[in-house]
Amino acid sequence: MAKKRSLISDPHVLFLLVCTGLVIIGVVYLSLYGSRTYLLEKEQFKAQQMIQALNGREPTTAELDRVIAQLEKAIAKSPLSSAAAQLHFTIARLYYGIAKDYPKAIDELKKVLLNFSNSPQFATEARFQMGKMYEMQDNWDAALKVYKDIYEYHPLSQKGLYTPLYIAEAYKARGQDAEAKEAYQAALNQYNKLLAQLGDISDSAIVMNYIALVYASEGLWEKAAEQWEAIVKKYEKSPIIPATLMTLGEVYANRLKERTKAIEAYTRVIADYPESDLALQAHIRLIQLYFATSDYANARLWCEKLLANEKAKDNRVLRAETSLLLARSYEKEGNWAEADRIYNTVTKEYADTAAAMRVPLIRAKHFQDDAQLDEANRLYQEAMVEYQRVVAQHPDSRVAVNAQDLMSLIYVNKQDWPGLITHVDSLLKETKEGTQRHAQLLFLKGNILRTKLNEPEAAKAVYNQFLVLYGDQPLADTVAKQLAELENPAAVSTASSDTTVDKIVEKLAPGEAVSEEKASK
Amino acid sequence: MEKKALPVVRTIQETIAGIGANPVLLVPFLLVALSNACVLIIAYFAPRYPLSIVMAPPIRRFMGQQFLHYPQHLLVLPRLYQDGSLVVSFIGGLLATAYALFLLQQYKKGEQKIDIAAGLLLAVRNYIKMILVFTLFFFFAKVAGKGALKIVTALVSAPHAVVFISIGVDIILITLVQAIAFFIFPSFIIGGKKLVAGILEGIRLFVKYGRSVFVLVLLPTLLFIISRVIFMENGALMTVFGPGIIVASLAITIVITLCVDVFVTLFSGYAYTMVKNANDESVG
Repeated sequence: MAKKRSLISDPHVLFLLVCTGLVIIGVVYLSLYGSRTYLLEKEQFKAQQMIQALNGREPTTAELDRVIAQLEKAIAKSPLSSAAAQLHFTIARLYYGIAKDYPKAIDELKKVLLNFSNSPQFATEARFQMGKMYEMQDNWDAALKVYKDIYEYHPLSQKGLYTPLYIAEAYKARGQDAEAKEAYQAALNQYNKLLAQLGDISDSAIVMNYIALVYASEGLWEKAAEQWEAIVKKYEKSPIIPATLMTLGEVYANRLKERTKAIEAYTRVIADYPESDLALQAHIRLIQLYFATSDYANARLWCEKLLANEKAKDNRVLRAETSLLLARSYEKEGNWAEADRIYNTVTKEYADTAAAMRVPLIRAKHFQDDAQLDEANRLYQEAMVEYQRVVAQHPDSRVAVNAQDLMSLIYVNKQDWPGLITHVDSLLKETKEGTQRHAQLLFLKGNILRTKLNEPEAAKAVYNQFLVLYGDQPLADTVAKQLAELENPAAVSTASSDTTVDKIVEKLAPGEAVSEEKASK
Repeated sequence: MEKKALPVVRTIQETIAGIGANPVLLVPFLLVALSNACVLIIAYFAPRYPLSIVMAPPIRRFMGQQFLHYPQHLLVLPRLYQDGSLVVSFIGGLLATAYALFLLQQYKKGEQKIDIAAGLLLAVRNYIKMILVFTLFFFFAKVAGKGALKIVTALVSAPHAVVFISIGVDIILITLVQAIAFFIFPSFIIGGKKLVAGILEGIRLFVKYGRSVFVLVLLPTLLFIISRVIFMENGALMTVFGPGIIVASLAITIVITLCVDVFVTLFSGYAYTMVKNANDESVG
């Protein structure tokens, strides 16, 4: 009888076993000694799922503890990785954002300092957030200490450069003028010290920019402009030059009222940095500047240059808005035929844009200004029907919101204030409470009642409602001021308030970003 | 030529008995499965150091940075595995098939001591022929699959129905292509035929025993339905078991591919010897 072969002794099987063994060793090695950041991400994903399961509601204390415990588990997988640092920031955010537990948030940020003291990015961010939290606890001394640590340990980091200026601005915001002055001087000293240490290298441009920002923050616009001019002259190869030229343009145009220098700055951005993203913005600012000074020929020239620009070729919104301005330049010069031709082109070629939607309104306004009231009313009527159709066709969309705001503008143009209040009331009913738009509409309603319909009691009720709902919003200060004026009618300035409703409606109407009216303001 | 049926049950019985008597026949296929497992392991560990040194740049370049992080990385795992596994099939898969057929022939002859070097040499010498046939049939299957999918989507509109019908059409196409090629590789390795002669003999035998061959190929190929359904339901499975289920479903695919390869190849080897012996006897 033939002896049965042992399977294990077969060379094929032996080879298979050796290969399997090697693969197992490989897997064990990769599992034990490979990078553990991936495992951190795995645990972090579980924490994200726990947050998602909350469906947007605020977590209970127990739920928050569970999420934080899961995040800590993730950190433990790879505590020295940059992903772990980010998770420490997430935990800190959960402590101060949801639990309002600032001491625990600060403790969490201290862990970042412990593990990442050599990383300027993480260490400075942790210290800055700690400072903010000390400020929230009204502990300015502790905040000041960590802010000073930032520029002491990492003076050339982004936060290290910003903090000296931040400290001065914080004093200014607190109304401590003497301390602010001292802090501004300290900031200048710090930047000058850095400049001396750096010498003539391109990074010096960034430090010089901070010196200019200190002057700007103090309102010393001429000195600030001198600094920015010096940067442009000395470091023309620095990547911050296009942005510096844009800033110079803004400062000359709006602060120093030196239009020629502003034009020079914007033109230089376009000529020297045509590939920069800022080149298109510079075109727009030039158009706005020329419109503001009624130099329609030059405004038109830059509109045409912008339309011919390669970078604007695929930007339909920008092209539509620019075409509107081009038409507007002809209209302002009294060439309605050419203006109308371009408006027609916008309607046809850019039918889906906010610019095209505004064309019927612009046409009606033209005839209204030209005292052709029958034609104006007919066009307003047609525009109203068209906007109502858009709202019905695309409910709950951005286009519908745009159309609703253009309807508001029709009421404003026709000075139909009861019509406008009815329209705003219907919009308020449709808009979700707690949203930015609801706040804006409520503010508009109060203003119509106060300045146009002369119903102070009704206006007061609306303003009070606004303050209850949106007391923490930036608009609340203005509302409170206007409410105070209503309590003391003698203080009301009719001249200033007459334009308020128009302004608010204009702000509501989207797509006005490059409009000539806004530019002139 | 007399048209005789190939006994399906006898072929299956002989194959199973052959594996029972000589389990070494499985080794070439197990090595291919192990290579596929290596592909999966490499794809799974690709974003982590040290494999990331080699694997991260192409993933970043062709798929995107986000696919180097959990859980997005798991979403591209099937694609990474498929690409790697295709390389394994083209190289290791064909050599393993040739070597398995060589082993089968040797055991059929009653050889107890296998000359490994001779087997490897035979596999390498036949590799070019095999890769030509494999490439031809592989692209034929791909083109036919795409065409069939177009027809299905044109005729059926319900998304779930499209998926189920596509799986059915896919399985039939794979079966058909494997059935046409069924006798070609044994004809190269066992029959010692040259490229054209082997292809002609393979097709002639397929024409003669087509129905039985189709059944022999279809039976193991039906296992692919399991992996196809698992991949189709990956989304639902992920919500229950988490993204890690993708790794599990790929592991199941490796096992299923192993089973299909073992049975289709060995069925073809045993069926080829059976019909050749029957021919020899009838000639004798």
